[in-house]
Amino acid sequence: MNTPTIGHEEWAVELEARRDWRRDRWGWLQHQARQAPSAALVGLPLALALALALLFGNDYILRVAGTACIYGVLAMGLTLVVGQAGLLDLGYVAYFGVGAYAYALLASPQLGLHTPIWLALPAAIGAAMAAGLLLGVPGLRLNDDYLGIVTLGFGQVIVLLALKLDRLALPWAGATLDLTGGPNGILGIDPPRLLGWAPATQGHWLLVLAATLLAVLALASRVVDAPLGQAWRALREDPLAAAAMGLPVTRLRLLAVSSGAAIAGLAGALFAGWQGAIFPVNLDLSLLLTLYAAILIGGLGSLPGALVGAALLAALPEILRDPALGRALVYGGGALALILWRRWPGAALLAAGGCGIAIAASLATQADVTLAGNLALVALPIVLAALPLVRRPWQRLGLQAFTLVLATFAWETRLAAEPGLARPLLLGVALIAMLIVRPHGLFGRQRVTVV
Amino acid sequence: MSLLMCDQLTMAFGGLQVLRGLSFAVEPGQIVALIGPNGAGKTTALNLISGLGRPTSGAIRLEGRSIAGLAPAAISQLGVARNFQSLRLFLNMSVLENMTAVGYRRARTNTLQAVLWTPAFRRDAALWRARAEELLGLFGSRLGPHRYDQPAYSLSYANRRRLEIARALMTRPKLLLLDEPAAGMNPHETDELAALIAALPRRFGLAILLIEHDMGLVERVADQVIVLDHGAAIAVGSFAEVTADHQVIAAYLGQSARAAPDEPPEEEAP
Ligand SMILES: Nc1ncnc2c1ncn2[C@@H]1O[C@H](COP(=O)(O)OP(=O)(O)OP(=O)(O)O)[C@@H](O)[C@H]1O
Ligand SMILES: [Mg+2]
Repeated sequence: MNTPTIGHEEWAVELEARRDWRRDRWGWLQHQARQAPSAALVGLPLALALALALLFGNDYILRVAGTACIYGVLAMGLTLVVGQAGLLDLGYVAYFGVGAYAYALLASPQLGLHTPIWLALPAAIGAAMAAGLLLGVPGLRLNDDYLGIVTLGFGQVIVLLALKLDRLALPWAGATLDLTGGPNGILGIDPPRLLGWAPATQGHWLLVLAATLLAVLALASRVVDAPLGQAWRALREDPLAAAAMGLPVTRLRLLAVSSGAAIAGLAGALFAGWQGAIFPVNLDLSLLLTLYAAILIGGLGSLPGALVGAALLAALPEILRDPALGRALVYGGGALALILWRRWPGAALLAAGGCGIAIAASLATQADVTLAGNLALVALPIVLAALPLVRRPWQRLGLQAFTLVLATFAWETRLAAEPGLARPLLLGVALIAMLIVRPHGLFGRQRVTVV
Repeated sequence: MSLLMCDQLTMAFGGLQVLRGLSFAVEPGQIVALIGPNGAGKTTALNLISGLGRPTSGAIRLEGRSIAGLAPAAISQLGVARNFQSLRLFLNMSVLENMTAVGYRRARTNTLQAVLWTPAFRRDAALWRARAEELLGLFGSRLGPHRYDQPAYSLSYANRRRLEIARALMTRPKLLLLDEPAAGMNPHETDELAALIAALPRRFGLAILLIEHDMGLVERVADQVIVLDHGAAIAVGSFAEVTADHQVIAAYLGQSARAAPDEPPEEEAP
């Protein structure tokens, strides 16, 4: 029984170990993330950031931190469904919306109800779970792409309902009921009041949101380690084998979708209470994209990863709001990426020079450069597409440098002035770079599909 | 009563008749081998028994209860476990997790208790882990503690087969279905496996339905051999009996063997 096993297996094992410690720049961090319980790993920096924000932050900083908390809760719920159970749920934001609107209806002047929080919050969570189950049952037989399409449609239906239910006809009363306020949303939502205390300042709110975040993190990380989490991962890996081993596939799927929906509903209710208002635009597709970007950057299925991704994505638009900070981010990040990306050593050297020239040029010409900027913006994707086709080293280096200058020019003349365009563009570029360089995200584990 | 009774099983995929009236029984504690040339329908029979498909006609009874067409999970809960010829481990999970994942809903405690980390849950989790370690221990150092936390995809093919058998045993089956468990193993490893398979029925109180192309293994462990050809049983009996059967020799060696039917079987009967 003690004969040594054959070569290739030992090699694979060794490769893993080496990758952790030497080859991979994130290896050390990843190793720590694996070793430390996720609650401690995220709890400590979170507590630190919270203390700093509360001590030194103005309302604006506190607000951004609060948004990061909401994103964090949402991203954790999503990563349970998508990363752990492997269900492509593109209707996730709908559960956030159901939770928010349910809470808003129960605790605002809209219907004249002012339900206490201990009733309104569970009701909002329950409504979101019900929405999850409603969708989960017909979606049960669908896999991957089909499930994604159906849930995406469902998400849009919820937005439409929020938009259109401001004139709900009540035939028996011969009148119409304004349920959701249509595009104007629901205003004057009560803050959650518990034992006579309600958050009054942004600092209070941040405490409430961070406490929620920690509670959800603790709960979710326990579930991930519990037999339920293991069963979810088994389902993700191979539903057929899971079924043959006696795992109740249907029940597990429903549990995953409704757990995610419950977390999203909780986040929605808190969001509504925090803003004091809820609008259909709060549920638009950009939130879904943000959340997916967060869990992909953090690493699919990883709770700490979801939190880090959420924090990054909450901070990114705010940084881009300020031209100076935005410039620092773009050039700093760009230079770092070029250095990390070993395939571009020469270009990294040229980057500094190219950027400098371009900045100088664009600043020196006080003339109207909009047209030139537009042209650069159009030329950029073409040059990018051409890059892989050029093989000769010198031509390649030249084209790389030209790309950098073009990108810098486009950024300085057009994108920096239009954060609405620059944000999604940067996010997209960052995501693509991430998926190429590190497909399993910051904290995710490398996954193998076919061996 | 037989543990497993298959009665006149037929299975057709479109116009392709894969099983045509297959009948056999497995008694408690028995090791029954299902052999036959490639494409004879062996895996298909196993799939029907484990619920991955509904027979076109015929009956499958487990301890007298009809299980044809039940969901795979339900059949597994009734005490049938299997491995897969094509290997279906939970590749991106650790070796140990491949074992313990089967524990959801078989354990006595629920998720709430797990979240609250109650003493009852901790006891239960420790029991499951101990069981996983015991079953992995069947394979000695090959699936020893140094492998517990390795992802299943890092295992060699032989170790994957072993892990699939251990995982199947986690469900405490009454009937274990093994589809070519020795595929990809060298003769030495096959010997090891034969000793293990022969010991399983007594140790865990189960019966085994075994599909295997390695005749040495079949000869060593099988109490009864069923030879399948073109979806029907052409011979049933001990290894010595079926290998002496003319039809079997013909099925395995093709037409040429029919010319010399009196040739003795290759393997010496035990
Ligand atoms: N789902 C399916 N759809 C169509 N044909 C199938 C299907 N499954 C099996 N078959 C066919 O049924 C026949 C028997 O397949 P089966 O896998 O049962 O053979 P087997 O006896 O296990 O062979 P092997 O020894 O190669 O594993 C083959 O011809 C195969 O192509
Ligand atoms: Mg087969």
